Amino acid sequence: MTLAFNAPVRHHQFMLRLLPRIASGIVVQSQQLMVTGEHDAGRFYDGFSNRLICGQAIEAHRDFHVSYQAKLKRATPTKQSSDMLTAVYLAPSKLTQCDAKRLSSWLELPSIYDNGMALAQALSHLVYQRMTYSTGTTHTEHTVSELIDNPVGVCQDYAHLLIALLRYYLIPARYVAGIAQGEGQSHAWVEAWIDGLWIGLDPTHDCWVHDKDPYIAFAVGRDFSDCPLNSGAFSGNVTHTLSIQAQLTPSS
Amino acid sequence: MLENNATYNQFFDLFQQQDHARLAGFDDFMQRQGVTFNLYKNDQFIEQTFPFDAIPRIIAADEFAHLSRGLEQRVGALNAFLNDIYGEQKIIKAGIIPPDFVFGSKAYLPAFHGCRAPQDIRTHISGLDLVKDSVSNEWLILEDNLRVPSGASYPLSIRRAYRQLFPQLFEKMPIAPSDNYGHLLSSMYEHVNPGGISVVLSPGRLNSAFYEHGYLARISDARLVTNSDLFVDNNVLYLKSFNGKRIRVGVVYRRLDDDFLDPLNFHSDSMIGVPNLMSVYRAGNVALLNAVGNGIADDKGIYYFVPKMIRYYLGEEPILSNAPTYLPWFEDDRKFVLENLHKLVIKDVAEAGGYGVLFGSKLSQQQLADLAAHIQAEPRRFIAQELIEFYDIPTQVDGQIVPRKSDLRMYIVHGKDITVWAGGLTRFAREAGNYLVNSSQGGGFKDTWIMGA
Repeated sequence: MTLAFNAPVRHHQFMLRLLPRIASGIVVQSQQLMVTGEHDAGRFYDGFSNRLICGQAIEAHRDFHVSYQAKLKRATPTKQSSDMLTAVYLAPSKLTQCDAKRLSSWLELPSIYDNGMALAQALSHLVYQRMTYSTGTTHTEHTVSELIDNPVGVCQDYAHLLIALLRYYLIPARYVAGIAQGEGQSHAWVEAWIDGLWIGLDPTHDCWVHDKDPYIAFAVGRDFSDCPLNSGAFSGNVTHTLSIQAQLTPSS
Repeated sequence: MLENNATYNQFFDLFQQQDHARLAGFDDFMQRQGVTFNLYKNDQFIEQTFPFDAIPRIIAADEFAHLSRGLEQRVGALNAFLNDIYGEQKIIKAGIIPPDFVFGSKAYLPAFHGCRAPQDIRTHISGLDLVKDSVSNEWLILEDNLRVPSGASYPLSIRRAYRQLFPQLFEKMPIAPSDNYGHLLSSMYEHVNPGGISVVLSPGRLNSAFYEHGYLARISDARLVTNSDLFVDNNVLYLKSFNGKRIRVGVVYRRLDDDFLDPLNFHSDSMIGVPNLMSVYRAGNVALLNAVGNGIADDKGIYYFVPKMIRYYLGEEPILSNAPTYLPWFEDDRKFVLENLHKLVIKDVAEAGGYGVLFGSKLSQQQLADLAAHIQAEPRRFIAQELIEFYDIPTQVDGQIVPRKSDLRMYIVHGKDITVWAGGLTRFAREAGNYLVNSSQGGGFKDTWIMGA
């Protein structure tokens, strides 16, 4: 990850969610983290079990780099006892709240379905059909209510709409921020709590996450606002651009 | 109805003999000390003195002992609730509090789930609001304030003036000293301190309680600071001293809301917070007073469940009761509330400071119908309470002694022990028949005298 500033900044405080989640059926075999000017950053977990890197780069700098290399192994998902009650992912959150009546009258929602998996897939497909993918039309604070008026956006918006739909059917659903092969940039998708497992769905590509390897999750939360990959504060009146380069190499 | 007890008679007998010209000394004192209360009204910033009435609220020794037991119990249960809700969440799993009341509240901060507070104390300083019901003659809890309860400095500082202006009252009446509040705070700091000095973190001069921030820092041996005095390095919080040295900070009595504490974790546009303060907290290197995320315990919807918490966590019957409260979220309660709207008090759970409080008896038919529709659409957002006919206490208004509705905020400090401060902020409504005593609604204050045994 690189943050490029248009002028030098100092006293840069950062909090990053850029490490793969361990709780999501992944085993870390080896890892190495490098942060500009800082090799002793604090590592914590937030309440969603996301890994945090917190620290500061005091000296003046224009570029801020974080590199992380890890050898990961996918393990067979087992029934997880969720740390936090999954009901936290049922309540309407800041960006997914919308009037249930508006939601149900806007979409032709299925009333009969075989099981949770079939329903989740049908809802993901509905989002994929209704939304139009377009970059630059929405901002990060875009809500589901606004999407009903204008169903155009990026992966974040697709994910929020699917979350709202799953919660409407009382299926706990959470936002996932991470990377997927082929995206190069960060990506967002959804996990639904079905039969005691978090099942990944990617409404932007209308597929199950386990069908399209590999997806690496950095952060989960009630919606995007719980999952910023990069938060920072610094001295200096500057603008910055963030880029994330991800390369996933399947081992032979 | 006017509260009456023998001690008030003793007070009035002595008070009549005093030189009433000396009452002007209170205003002088408040002007000189800068005891002010700042208000925002119509986007205008107004600095005004907090109207003071010299007739105290008087509480007998046995009554205070009863209140103390009840308040200690309640704060103990609320602290257990906060540790649980940010930990194992047993009270939800046990079906005692519906998950919606916790997870549906903006005050619940799931990002800090699993983050333990030093010594497992989260309710360091609580301000619990009570009224005394004239029908049952019992004290009832109206509100739990567990975030940043303010106001203790007003009765504290006025007590000093009172002793100077009317020393005879203090010689003749067994008034319990209240000047140990600073000591209660500093010993609590010591108990929760993971290492370093203690500071009172203020948003600055324009905050409505800035006078109080400086006062509390002084009496509790803490440094008064704003965010620019503090910085984080390697998960440790430091104070920048004048000679360029850095001093480690272990206790932050923060006088700003969670939302503004750390722009990396909360509102990113906060200019009064300390970036990465929460990494220090996560590392266990600082005690934040009160803990982050406490707002869930003083949510007006959660208030309903406090007696149940006392039974659940402590296995005891509540010593002090809530005002009779209904939750429209429950179907039975909703039916009752909608049928009795005209005699109930309706509160919006998201509001504080006397805002968002509606008295059914004062609404027109149209307003009642609108409110009913609102409650049906968003039942989770409201609570309804019976109107409590709480006591008036004698109050001087324009030189006359008249009855005025008064409540009482008692302060409880939770360090090694839970201690109820033998003082309190009595607030009164300035107009006859008004039930809203909040200072933001123009109410005034009185000292609270606890009688020694």
